[in-house]
Order: sequence, then structure tokens, then C-alpha cells
Amino acid sequence: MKLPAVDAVIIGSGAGGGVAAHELSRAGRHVVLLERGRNQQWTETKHDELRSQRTTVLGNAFGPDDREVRLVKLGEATAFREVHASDGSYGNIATCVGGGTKSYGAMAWRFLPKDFQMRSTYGAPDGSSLEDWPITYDELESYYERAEYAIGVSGQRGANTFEGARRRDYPMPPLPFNKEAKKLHAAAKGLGLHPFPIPMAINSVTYDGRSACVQCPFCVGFACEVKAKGSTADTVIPKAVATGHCELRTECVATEIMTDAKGRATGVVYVRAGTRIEQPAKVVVVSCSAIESARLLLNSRSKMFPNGLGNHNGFVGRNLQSHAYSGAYGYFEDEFWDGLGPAACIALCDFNHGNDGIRGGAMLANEFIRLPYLFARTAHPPKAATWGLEHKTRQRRFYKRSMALQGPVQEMPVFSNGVELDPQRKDSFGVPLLRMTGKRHEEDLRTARFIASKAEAILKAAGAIETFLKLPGSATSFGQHQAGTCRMGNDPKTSVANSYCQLHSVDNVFVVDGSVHVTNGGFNPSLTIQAVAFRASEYIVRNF
Amino acid sequence: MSSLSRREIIILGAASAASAAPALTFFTARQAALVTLIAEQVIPADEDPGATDAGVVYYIDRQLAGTLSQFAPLYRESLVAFEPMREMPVGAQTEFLKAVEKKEHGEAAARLFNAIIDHTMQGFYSAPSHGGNRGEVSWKMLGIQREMGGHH
Ligand SMILES: Cc1cc2nc3c(=O)[nH]c(=O)nc-3n(C[C@H](O)[C@H](O)[C@H](O)COP(=O)(O)OP(=O)(O)OC[C@H]3O[C@@H](n4cnc5c(N)ncnc54)[C@H](O)[C@@H]3O)c2cc1C
Repeated sequence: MKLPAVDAVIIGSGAGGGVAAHELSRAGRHVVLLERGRNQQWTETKHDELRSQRTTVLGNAFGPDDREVRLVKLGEATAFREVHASDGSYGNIATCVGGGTKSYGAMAWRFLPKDFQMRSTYGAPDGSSLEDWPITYDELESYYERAEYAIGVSGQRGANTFEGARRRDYPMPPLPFNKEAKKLHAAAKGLGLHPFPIPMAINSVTYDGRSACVQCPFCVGFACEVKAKGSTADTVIPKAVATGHCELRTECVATEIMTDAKGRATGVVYVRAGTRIEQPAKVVVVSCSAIESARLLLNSRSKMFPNGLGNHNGFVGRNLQSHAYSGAYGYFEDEFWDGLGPAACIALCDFNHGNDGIRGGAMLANEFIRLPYLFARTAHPPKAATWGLEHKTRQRRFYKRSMALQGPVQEMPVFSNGVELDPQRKDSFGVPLLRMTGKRHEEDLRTARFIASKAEAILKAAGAIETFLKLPGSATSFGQHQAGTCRMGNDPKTSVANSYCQLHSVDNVFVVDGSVHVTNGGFNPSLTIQAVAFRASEYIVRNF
Repeated sequence: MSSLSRREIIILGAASAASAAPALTFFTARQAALVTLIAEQVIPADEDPGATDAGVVYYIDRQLAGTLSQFAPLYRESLVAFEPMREMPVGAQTEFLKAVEKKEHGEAAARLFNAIIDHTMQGFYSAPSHGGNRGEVSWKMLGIQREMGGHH
């Protein structure tokens, strides 16, 4: 079936795709927004720990289901292993309208100026393809601002002394500190550090027709009951649809980008309920998140592009990265759990850069509320009993007397980390399965140990009677923060897209999601994905 | 039921006390009694209720017939390794499970015990709508009933 042509088809309705749909439709372009998942409602999952995107024991609450399979070779593994979508090694974000932003924690970080210039700041270590971004923080600043206003960010201007210049204040004041944050604030200050309220895409006051946060404990991993969380599903996407120019089509799986004899894109092939549909378009925007965007390009093969669309240099799918989370847990004598969400509310950037002998680092933040099952399985010290009276006693004693401080260590990109198509096996839509390889650079593990020791020192200063470290292993976890597979750059020899997310070799295809990140900052990435998406969208509107 | 010992009848009785006992869909009554013994070791009653009081076995039973069916073969094939526990006093059961953990009763038994630990934690600490945590006993124990119940 072939449909009438539209101006643009956007594939994937997550952090990046949602913004592109908003910007293009508001500029009067006729847009089709394809989403593989459903438009999930809060009532489907509610406040149910086992139906969240935090634990997958009963499957991925926000998709995809376990029919999805990947082949992974992680860390020291020497062979590929088959994993289903709810396996931690699969590398999942989510599959639903809003993508990751429907169930994310909603920390809304701007990267620091140096995060865009990692190679010139530190030099690339052996075995890493570390590069600078082709744009600077200053060039992105006004787009960060647009992202903050479009999705609604609460924060305190000037509180993060390490942040780059900011023209305009946050649209909302910060969320209040909980008791835990007050304790950490005093301890960090005492150590001469610079703690501040985390910028959150969660309404501290009524904003843009959406309610203020009611401070329930169900943020990260859940859809927000009152839509106080700035998911693209509740902000830019409904606005795009309301323009009358954007058609959201759910449960549509894009399988291929079509091209003409000259190698330009002519539209997208997708499958809906078993039917193959062709959607012609003048512009194609790929926003499937780093792993699936690379897969779609690699599967769009033609005479001009035998190795996949835009893959003239073999870079599509390479440099896949995420974050090496590390930190520490602390147990205390006194009770301070107050049950107020989002709970993650205090951070510091003292260790993002300028660490002796270390390339980059990470922001450190306190944790979202750990719900009881997750606490039972992940928050006990490594040597403590995992069952029996001792476990129960610890659970009872420390559930309200513990906290974690951790951060996303910026990984050194490695060219051989990434995805490629399996030569034989295909999924039910006829798309080849992915093979995924990921082994962390030693540098990441060293930085992680450094960051964890800093977290531990702060917890001790806050009065922890017992602490233990959470350290990453050599197997990369490509889930929530996946990035880098279609890196942007000025040189078409060593990058896939230009700084406007436009493929170097196909001028009407754009990759607007985490794929284009050259490096991933020491922060959760979604606000940066969105700032880049605003910039790319502006360029598309100007040129098409 | 005829093959249940008096002790097992008492245990299952406690597991299904309070409200009417849910029907078993995966386990036989005999298997359920054994899983109940193991789960009670994982989260024993003390001044607060344990796995039996919380009806954890009904969570496991329901999930094995549904979402956690990938574990069904492991339970079906390896539960027999825990048979000796039935007539042991509680302290000896604990020692037995420590040996299981060290793989002294084989790889499969260790794997099953690991799964039972996880499934017991799930059933005990998650929402009662999944079949366990009857009366929200774990949330009461932690003092988080108000927050978890969603009555913010
Ligand atoms: C539990 C959780 C907590 C998180 N917390 C934070 C946080 O606090 N702060 C932060 O910055 N980030 C957070 N993240 C990460 C954040 O959600 C991601 O970085 C972000 O959503 C990535 O954006 P994206 O546009 O690259 O892809 P996504 O948001 O993943 O969107 C991709 C979309 O494309 C769709 N898609 C894929 N393939 C196809 C296809 N072939 N056809 C049609 N549609 C397709 C997918 O279904 C998906 O909806 C969190 C994520 C999770 C899951």
C-alpha cells in the first residue's frame, strides 16, 4: 500500500522525535510521526513497582515485549548470546509514545562547555575514538533554553557554579529539597563542594496547562499520574497533533528508508498490523534512539549504499556508548526517608572535569526513591545476606535510613563498540537482528572508581555508619543512555551527520536522537538530545 | 491432599488464612507446601509477618502460570531436591538451604533457590494485586503503606 506524500516523516516519538514533530508541524509542514509502540496511559501501569521501567522481572512495562531479540557480546565475552528485550543486556530504553521520556526520571541536564570539547581538553587515550563535537555549548545554549521551556524544567539559576553561561532563567523554581538532600547539602558544603538542586523536567508549579508535582514516589520508571513530568508524550507531541499538521501513527514499525537512483530518500516503509505500507516524504527524520536508528539505516541498503544509508565510511553503528554509572550507598543511624518524590533533588558537578589525571568524570546526584523490591535486591552491601532473618532485619532497619549518591561517568568512545546486522536471522518484520558489542575502555573503570570514592566520602561526611561502592564492570550497559552510533562531525570521513543532524551523504535524511552524540557528557542525556533536535528542526524548516 | 503431612497442612492453612485461599493454578498442594517452607526461610516471620503470612506462594504460583513461565521447567524439575526439608526442624532447614546455595545439592537446586529468593522478594514486597503481600504486610513493616498504596 502506498500513501500520498507528506513533507516529512519522523520515525520514533521519543525525546528527539517528539521535538522534531513539534517544530516541523508548527512551521506548517505536513508531518507523519511513526511510533512502534502504543500511546500508553497511566492507568495501565499505575503505581506498581513490578510494572515499571525500573525492574523488568515481569517484562518491560513500557515496551518492547520479549518477542524482540538481540545478540550481544559484552565485556570479556567472546561469543554472541541471544537476549530478549527484558534482559538487562538487551540495551532497552522504551517503546511507546514519548519513548524514554514517558517513564524517565526527568533530570534535565545541560552538558558543560568542556563536554563538547573532550578531545581538545584531554586528548584521546589509546583505543578510544574520542572527538570534539562540531558545535560548542555556546552555539547550543539558546536551543537548551527552548527545550527547557517546551518541556518545562524546574531549577535554580546560578546554583550550579560550573554551568556554562545561561541567558534566561529556568521556567520554574526548583523542586524542594527532601530531608535526605538537606543532610547531603550540609555534608557537601562542609567538604567545600558546591551542591545545588537538580534541574528537573517536573513541574514545581502549574506550567503550560499541566499540574504541579504532587510528590508521590513514582517518578523514575513510571508514567506520571498528573502529567507533571515533561514527557514528550504529554508536551510537544500533543501540541504538534493540535496544529492539525501532524499525524501520530502508533504501532507502526519502520523497516526501511526508500531511496531513488540518485541516493536521495523518497520515504519510509513501515509495517502496521502485518501490512506493508509506503509513506513517501520529502524529508525523513530518524529518531528511533541510538541502537534502532543505526539498525534502520543499516537495513536501508541500495546500489548507492550497499552498506546502509549514509554509511559511506562504515561509521553507522560504531562508537555506541552510554554511561558507566558509579557511586556509593550509605547506611545511617537516623531515619530521614520522607517518601517525597522525586527524591532525586540534589547534585554536584565538582567532579565532572578538572580531576587530576582523569579524562572527564561525572555529575553526582542522590537517588530517586528506591521501591521496596528493588531495595531488597540492589541496595544491600555485597557481603550481606541475600535472604533470611538477617536480610529482613536489614531491610526493616535501613529502608528509611539509607541513601545512594551516584553519577553517570562519561565513557570514552570506542570504535569497535556498536551494532551490526546479523547476516542470517531476522525479526518478525523481516528486519535483520542486531549484533551488539560493548566493552568499556579501562579509562572508564578508572574514572568510575574515582567518582565512587568521592561519593563515599560525601556519604561518610553526612554521617553514614556503613558504606559500600557501586562500580561498573567491563560490560557496557547500553540501555537508557545509549548514544553515539551516528556521530556528528565536520569531516564526512570520520562522522555520519553534520552538526544539523543531516547525513553527510543523503541531504534529506536527518538523525535526530542520541545517535549523533559525539560524547555523552557526565549527565543524563535527554535535554541535550532535545536541544540538538531544536537546532536540527530549525535547519530543516529553513531548508525544506 | 492425602499425602500432606500434618505439619504441611498447618503451614498451607496459615498461608491461606485470613481471606479465602486463592486456588492454585501451577503448583500441586504438595509442591505449594514445599515452596511455602522455602519462602518462609527466605523471609521468616519474626515480630513482623513473613512470607507465609504474606501469601508469597500464591504470587509465585500465579506468575509461573503466566509472566514468569520461563521458570516453570526449573520449578517442575528441581523442586524435588528440596524434599528433605519437609520433615526438618526450622534450624536444619536453614542449614540445608545454605548448603544448597553452595551448590552442595547440585547446580539446578542452587539455580532454583536463587529464583525462589528473587520471586519471594517480589511477592513479599510488591503490590498485593500480584497475589502476594497480603494485607500489605511488608509495606506496614517498612512504614510505607501510605506512600505505596498511592494515597499521597
Ligand atoms: C527509566 C528511565 C529513566 C531515565 N531517566 C532519565 C533522566 O532522568 N534524565 C534523562 O535525561 N534521561 C533519562 N532517561 C533516558 C532518556 O529517556 C533517553 O536518553 C531518551 O529518551 C533518548 O531519546 P531518543 O530520542 O534517542 O530515543 P527514545 O526516547 O528512546 O525514542 C525512540 C522511539 O523510537 C521508537 N522506535 C524505535 N524503532 C522504531 C521503528 N523502527 N519504527 C517506529 N518507531 C521506532 C521507539 O519505540 C521509541 O519510542 C531515562 C530512561 C529510562 C528508561
